[in-house]
Order: sequence, then C-alpha cells, then structure tokens
Amino acid sequence: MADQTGTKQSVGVFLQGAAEKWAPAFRMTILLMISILAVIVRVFSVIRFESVIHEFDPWFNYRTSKYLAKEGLYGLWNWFDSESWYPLGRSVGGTVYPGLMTTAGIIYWGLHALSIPVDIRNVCVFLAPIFAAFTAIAAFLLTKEITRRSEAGLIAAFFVAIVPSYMSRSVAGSYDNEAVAIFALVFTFYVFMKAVNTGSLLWGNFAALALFYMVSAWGGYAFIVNIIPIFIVAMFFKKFLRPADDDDLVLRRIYVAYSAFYVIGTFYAMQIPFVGFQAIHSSEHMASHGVFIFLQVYMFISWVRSFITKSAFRMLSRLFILTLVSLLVLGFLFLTFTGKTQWSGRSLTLLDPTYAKKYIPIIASVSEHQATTWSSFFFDLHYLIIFTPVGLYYCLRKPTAAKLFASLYVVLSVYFASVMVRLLLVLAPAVSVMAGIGVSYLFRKFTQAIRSSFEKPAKDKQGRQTTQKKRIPPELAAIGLIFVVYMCSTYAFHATNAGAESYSHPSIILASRDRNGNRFIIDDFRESYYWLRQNTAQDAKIMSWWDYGYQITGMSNRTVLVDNNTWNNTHIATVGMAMSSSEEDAYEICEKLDVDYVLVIFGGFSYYSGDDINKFLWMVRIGGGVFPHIKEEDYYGRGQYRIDQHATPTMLNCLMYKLCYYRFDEVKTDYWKPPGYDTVRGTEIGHKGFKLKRFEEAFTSERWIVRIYKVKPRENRDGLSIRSRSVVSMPEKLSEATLGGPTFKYHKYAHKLTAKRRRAL
Amino acid sequence: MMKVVLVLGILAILGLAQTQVKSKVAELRQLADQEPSGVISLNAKTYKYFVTDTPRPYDLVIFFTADNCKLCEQIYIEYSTVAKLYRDGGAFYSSRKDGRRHRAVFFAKLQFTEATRDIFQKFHFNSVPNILVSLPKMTSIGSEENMQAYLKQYLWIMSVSDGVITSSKLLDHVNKKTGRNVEYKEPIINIFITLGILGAVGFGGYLLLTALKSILGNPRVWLLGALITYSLCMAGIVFNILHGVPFTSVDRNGNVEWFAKGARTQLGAEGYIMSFSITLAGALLIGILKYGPSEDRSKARLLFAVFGIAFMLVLFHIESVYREKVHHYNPSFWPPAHYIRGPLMNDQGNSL
Repeated sequence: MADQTGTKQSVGVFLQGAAEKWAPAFRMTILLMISILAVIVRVFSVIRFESVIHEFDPWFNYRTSKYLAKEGLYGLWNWFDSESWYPLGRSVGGTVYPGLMTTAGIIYWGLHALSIPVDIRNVCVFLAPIFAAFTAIAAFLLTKEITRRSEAGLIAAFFVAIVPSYMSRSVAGSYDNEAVAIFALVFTFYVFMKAVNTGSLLWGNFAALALFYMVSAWGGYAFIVNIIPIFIVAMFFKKFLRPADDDDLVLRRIYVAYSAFYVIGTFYAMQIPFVGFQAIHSSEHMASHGVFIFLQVYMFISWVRSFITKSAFRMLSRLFILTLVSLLVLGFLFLTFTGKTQWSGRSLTLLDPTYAKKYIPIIASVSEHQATTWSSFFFDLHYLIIFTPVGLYYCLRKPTAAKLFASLYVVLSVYFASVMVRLLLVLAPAVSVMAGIGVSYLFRKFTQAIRSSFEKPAKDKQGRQTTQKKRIPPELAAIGLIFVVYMCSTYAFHATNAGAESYSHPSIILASRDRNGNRFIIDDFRESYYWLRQNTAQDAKIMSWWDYGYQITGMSNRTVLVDNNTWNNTHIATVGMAMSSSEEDAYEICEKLDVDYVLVIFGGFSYYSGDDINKFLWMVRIGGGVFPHIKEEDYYGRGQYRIDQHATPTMLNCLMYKLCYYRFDEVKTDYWKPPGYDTVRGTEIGHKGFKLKRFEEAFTSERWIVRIYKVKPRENRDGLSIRSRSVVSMPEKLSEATLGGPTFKYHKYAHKLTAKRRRAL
Repeated sequence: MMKVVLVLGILAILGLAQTQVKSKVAELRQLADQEPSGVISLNAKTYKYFVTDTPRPYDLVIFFTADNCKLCEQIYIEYSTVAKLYRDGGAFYSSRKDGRRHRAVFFAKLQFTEATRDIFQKFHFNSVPNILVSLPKMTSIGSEENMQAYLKQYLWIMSVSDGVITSSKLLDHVNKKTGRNVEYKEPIINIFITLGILGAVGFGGYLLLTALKSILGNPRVWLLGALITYSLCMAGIVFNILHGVPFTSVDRNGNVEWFAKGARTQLGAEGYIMSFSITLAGALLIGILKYGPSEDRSKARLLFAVFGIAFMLVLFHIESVYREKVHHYNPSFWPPAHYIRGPLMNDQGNSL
C-alpha cells in the first residue's frame, strides 16, 4: 500500500518535473499554433472568392500602397491626388495615416530585396491576417504583464486570435487601418505596462515608439492618449481612497514611464503630417497634457516634503494641488471657448452620443457609426462577455497598477463600443484579455482541486497534518472543467463560423445561389468599373454617391467628385442635391461640376439591398443640411419613404429615381408580378415609361446592379429657345410683349431679330 | 448757363439719391440699435420701404414668424444670437476685405398679421419659421420663374427634418449667403456658467469622496461599479436613447412582445434583460469560485450544484433567445454541407 502511494507520488513528481522543464517549449509551441490559427481562420475569403481587396476604404489604401511602392515614401508625402474630389483634388500625403501603407511597402520592398517577386496586391490582401497573429502574441505579452501568469496569456491569445469582432476587420483582403492598428494598440499597452511595472526609462521610450506606430496607423490612437492619463488619475484616486504601502513606489514608476512616454510620444505623433500640431492643441490631447503637468507638480511636492514639517507640507500641498487643478480646468475651458482647441465630431459623438444625430448627418449616416445592440455584443464577442466578469473579479480582488489598468480598459471601451458598433473592435482585445484572465482563474481553481485529491495531505516536520487548504470538491471541479472547455470550444466553433460565413464577403463580389442550389458569382461591380476604365475618356469625371468613390478611382482609374474620405461636407452635399433634384436642375449642377458620367447602384432587379435607393434618404438629409431647399419630407409619400404610386412627385421625378428605374418597367423580375416590380422594396414602381432628356444610358451591368449614364451635351441652340420659338410666339408690336426689368433689352433685341426673320420669311 | 444748371441739377439729384441711400442705411442702423438683440421688427409698411423699394444697398435677413409658434420662439433665440454676433463683428457696416466688398447686413423679423398676410402669401408660406436672405438683386427680379430660382437659393423653409437648429448652424447659413465670414463666439456669460457648474461639481465630488472614503475605497465597490457599467453599456442603452426604442411592443395578435427579431434592432426591455443575464452568468461563475471552496464538503457540493445549474439555465436562456432572434446563428460549425469539397478549383469562387 505504501509502495503504491510511493509510485503515485513519484509519478506525480516526475510529471511535475517534466512539465516544469518543458513548459517554455510548450508555451512557444502553443503560441505558434495560435498564431497560425489566427492566420488561417482569416483566409476563408481568399479560398471562397479570390485574392481581392474588399469593400470601400481598403481600395483607397490599396491604391495608395501601389503609389507608395512605385514612388517611395516621399512620393507619397508629396502626392496631390487630382483624381478625387474634382475639382478640388486632395493632398493625400497630409491627409492620410501612412502606417498601413508603409508597413505593406516595407514588406514588399523586403521581399523584393530577397528576390521574392510578390505582387503588392497580395501583400495588401494578406497583411491583416499576419498582423492578427502579431496581435495574438501582443495579447499574450500584455496578459502576462498584467497577471504574471503565462497560462492566462495563452488563453487570452487564443481568444483574441479568433474573436469575431476583430476578424470582421482583419480577414484577408480587408486592407484597412484597423488591421494593423489593433496590434499597435495592444502592443502599446503591453509596452507601457512593462514600463509601469519596471519603472524603466527605456521601456517608457519603447512605449512612445509603439505609440508612434499606432499614431501613424489609425485615428483611434486618441483612445490610448486618453486612457493612459485616466489610468494615472485613477491611481491617484486609489492612493487617496485606499492607501497601500507601495503607493509611492508605484507612482514614482508611473512618473518615469509616463514622462518618457508623453514627451517623446507627443514629438513622434507630430511627425505624422496628418496629426502635426493637433497633438498639441486638439482637445483629444488635453488630458495627456494636464496629467503630465500634474505629475510633475506632484513629484516636485513630494521632493519638497523631505525638507519641511508635516503640517506645513500638508497646507502647502493642498494649496498647490487646488490651484493647479483649477488652473488646468480654466485653461482648458478658455482654449475650448476661444476656439483655440476643438473637438472633432467623431470624438464628440463618443462623449455625447446624440451629437452626431443632431448635427453631423454625414457621421450618422455611416452604418458602422451606429449604436450597438446587445445582440451585436453577443455575436461579435460571444462567450467572452460571460467570462469577462470573472476576469474583473480576479483583477479587482487584489488590485495592482496593471490589473487596475486592465479593468479600466474594459470599462471604458465597453462604453465606447456601446456608442459605435465600429468600436467593438477596441473592446475585443480588452474583453479577450479579461476573459483569458477569468478562464485561466477558473481552470486554475478547478485543476488545483483535482490535483489536491491526488496529493497526500502534507505533513510538517513534527508529523502533524497541516490544515488543508479550502478546495472545490474534485469531482465537481472536473465537471466544471469539462464545461468550461466545452464553452471555449463552442466559442471557437462560433468564431470559425463567423469568420467563414459572415465576415468573409469581399462585398465587391457577391455570391448567390440559383434555384437548383448551385453557387454563382455576381461580379457586377468589377464588370462596370472595368467598363468605365476601357470605354470612357481618360479624364472623364464620374459622379456617384461617396460610398463608391474609392472603388471607382481604384478600379476604373477615373476622376470622381466625392469619395469615402468625407472631408468636404459641402461637396458631398452638392452631389446629394444633384441626386435629389429634378432632372433639369441636376443637369445644371452636373454641367457646373463638369460631370461626364453618373453612376448609380441599383439592387431592385437582383435582390441587392445595399443600393442607392435605400441610401437615398441620407443623400437628401446631407444635401438638405447644406441646401435647405431640399426637404426630407418632400420625399415621404403618405408619411413613408416609398417608391410606388403613392410616392410624392418630388421623389418620382428626382434624378436618383429616374436613373435607377429608367426602363425598369420593360422587364419582369418575377413571373407572378407585374413588370417594374422592385424586388428589394417589394413593390411596383410608381413612375413608368418616362424618357430621359439630359442623360443617356451608357452601361448597365449584367444584373443591373450598376447603371452608368452619360451626361448629354446641350443640344444645338439649347438655352436660346426663346429666340427660335419667338418667330411664332413673339407679338407683332413691341409694346404687346410682357417686359420685365432686366430682360427688357433682351426682348427688344429679340423683337428686332424676329422682325428681321419675318421679313425674310 | 443752361449747362451749369443741368450739371447742378444732376448733382442735386445724385446727392439726393445718395442721401436717401445713406439715410435708409442709417435708419436701419438706428432701428437696430434700439433693440437689444439688434433684430428690427418690420411691418407691412416698413417691409415695403426697406425690402422692396429701391435703392437699397444692404442685405437684409428676414425672419418670418407668427404668434403661438413654439418652434419660432426657440429658433428666434438662436437667430438673435446670430444678429448679435453680426453686430459685434461690425457687419452692420459695409466694408471691404480681401478685395471683396461686403454690404451692410441687417436682421429683421416679420410677424404674421392681417396686414402682412399678402407678403406671406406672395412667398407661398405654409409654415413658419422661415428665414430669407434678401440681397439687393432681389428687388430687380422680374419674372416669377427667376424669383423661384432666387428663393430656392436664399429662402430657408424650416421644418422638423432640419434637426436641431443651433446658432452656429444659422450663422453658417447667413455667412454663406451674404459672403461674410463672421465667426462664432461663445458668450462670456455661458463660459462663467459652465465654469461655475464645473467648480460646484468638482467641489461636491471632493466632499462626496471624503465623506464616502471607506465605501469608495473598497475594491468590491469598484467591482460592482464596473459590472454595472458593463451591463448597462452592453444593454445598448445608447441605442435605446438614440432610437427612442419602446420598452416592449405589441404584436399583431395583441400579445406583449419582449424581443425584437433581427440582429440590428432590439427593444428596451430586451437589452436590459439579456445584458443582465450575461452579467449574471458571469457572477454565478464568480460565485462558484468564491463560495465553492469550503471545508464542509456537502455544503460545498450543494453550493456548487446550485450555482452550476443556475449558470447553465441562464446560459441556455441566452442561447435560446439569441437563436430565436438571429436565425443564422450556428455555433456548431464544422465545414457546412454547402462547402464544396474536393479539388481546390471546385470552390475558387470565380468559377461559375
């Protein structure tokens, strides 16, 4: 019997020894496998479709990357793009976050230096999956830095590698800023935490460098610039509310880390032309300035403390802090009200969610800026949101600086995510890290319980049994363990499903199924963009809604009026006005803007619901925001937005309606329905058989999704119609003509002319 | 002699016209100065004199309003702010800046009465308030068609769809139409009010902090705060506010509906129920960790079983609600049947 327990013990000892010996190797292998998983789960889109750039913004990034690869970094900085925002143009170098393109460019040049002739398109397509792998590693490091436990890090890395929310922005082909920025975000947090934990100036410098990469990649860097000051303020609150022995030490470390991070980081940020002096005077940065000054003063006071008596010091410090805080607040308010510093619209939306809806329709119109419902949280983060409270519990049980930071990160980002769907992306790493901590805590408790049942109660030297530690009953712990593993695997299944089915659509290529269940590809977008490239003049100007601007410049290589870089609201509103005006008025606008072609997206023929008719109300709203004569209610028939016979005349005669439904009544979309039946809106159109006077159908794609119209030149003697008609209608005597003030001369002249003609006749 | 008389006469007429012009501007300025807001009240007679009669070398912004109009009163406050900004910006005088001549701009309002009915009818107004920027060229427009074209550009018929009309928005509009560039400045009093409020809040916060030091210093309270924020945000509270979502709705048969179909929408109650369930599930896991380990084995088992079963029930509830809501939810993904297997070329996507 004794022998048996002996072997049991020795097996246990052996296993433990082996595990300890091989743990680093296991860790590396698991991390490598997680990285590989992060990449391969994101290439569904390439397998199911092809290696192509997705959606809208990536097309601009891709075009810029191509330019960068050809012209170099300075070429990009000096690039004035005359193909967009006609006739204004856009200076790309100063209005772009170059981090993404530069990263792709460096990889491209590096591979070419190694004689691997890879296409820049493939670099762009696969950049996001590769960076997802880096994010997983960064999450591992961050979690390890917070908890000092690598198993928590591994679980967090696994969670973040496949979290659907992050996957939605980083599948292969989704070549957008967020693809690299999320890595930069997590990595900056890791390096900063390292700096805080070590109090090392070097790590503070590294943190600034990481911030630089983040600033170069994404406007979301404002999140970092604000959360770190908030964290520091929270540390002061903690010292005030719950003093601990090591507070002074921690604050000194934070002081070192933050001073390096702030000073160097701000200088770095200013090197990005798009940010420039905004890093000093925009309101998003005010918190970082304030906290920096506050920290300096606090440290100065602590230094003074070592020289004077306690009571004098207390008074002094109170006075000092009070004046300082009020000065900072006053200064900030002064700057805000005098307009020296300004909040950007998107940031204001975060502070006051109703702001965009009231004042900036262009921000409100973007679907990714909508507020988030609980189901979006559940779909995009799945079981992680159930595990997160456990992680919070663990972190706030014995809060250290790093654990407090992680909790703050979760709480702040969950608020931001609830304001904008898009910011679920910032929440995803936070929740992954927190859930990783929580799950590893659960695992630890369960496995400890199971392990302890194999161990003999330890005896101390006198042979007394030491009091047994409290453990969960081992058999129940086993059940719990199995259940948590089951939940994690369900999460993995869900994530794979989301990656494969929901988030892998390139959106410029659509897939559908015919009635026999065979899959076919709808490639209308590229068909028409290529048509534009091959059949229109090199300098043709294309008017379309701004959503398609990047794609047209990217794929057709033609000039557009507005695109997804929505920097000039008035210009977009002008296009909105043209689309919502009558044909005649729109023609005048088109003429003034030199438009050669008008492109509309129409889904009523082939069940494509993301079309221009569905977006049309936003065009009206944005147009009406600048040109008040466009009224949203003019487009509502019987209190509803509709396209059938009850729609208003304004709606039925506006340019968008006419261009979408031109000749639509000649086709039947459904056997049982009348001709002109719109499959998306599910109604018959209200205006049939009309002709276009000023526009001419130039191209309609196979499934009618893209329709392109040519703007006709004015007919001969158009606009001089009175003169030619007046042979008949002009009265014989001049006095009989109705004469208005300024037109008098003209009439007089016309009268003379007609008299001459009559004589000739 | 004749010539001299003629020249003198012409000069006199010109001078008269000039003084008339001068006097009209001066009159307006005087009227504007009498009002604290700088907005001149017009009536039918003065409307004709100042707006339609030539010569008039100034721009006039007219606010059309009526009695018993709440919206008008609100917008009028913003309108008078803009007038004040223009007065402070010196825009009541004509000026020359950057090589461009700016006419003097005045602000007026016209109340709907029996006497002014004709003017309102002329513009085909169905509603108030409306804002017209009347430039001098408006007086010389002859045909109805040209007038319509002018009004399309310079008349703002306000309605609900214009959203909240702020003074900065109005200022933008007037700037654009008159070609001026008067900048928006927050009134000093507002700054002081904001400062006062902030100071009070700060002081109150400090008092609260010191009074509740023992409570607020407890990490459990922090956890509670974090969890409350967490579940409130996840409930889509912002979505509910922005979209004015009702708490529950009623379906066709008259039954109360708690859950809305579709991933992109939700009902008010639904968000709170679900996010509370999610947080509760997490809290139950915490419960297992906190109360599970116990020296009394049977008590530990009982607690574990209660918490465990409760957790599973909550999880089942969340799953079933979500499944009901979003039909394509499928967390048992293993390449589904419609994935075409076999050689790579079979599912290249571009092979039709």
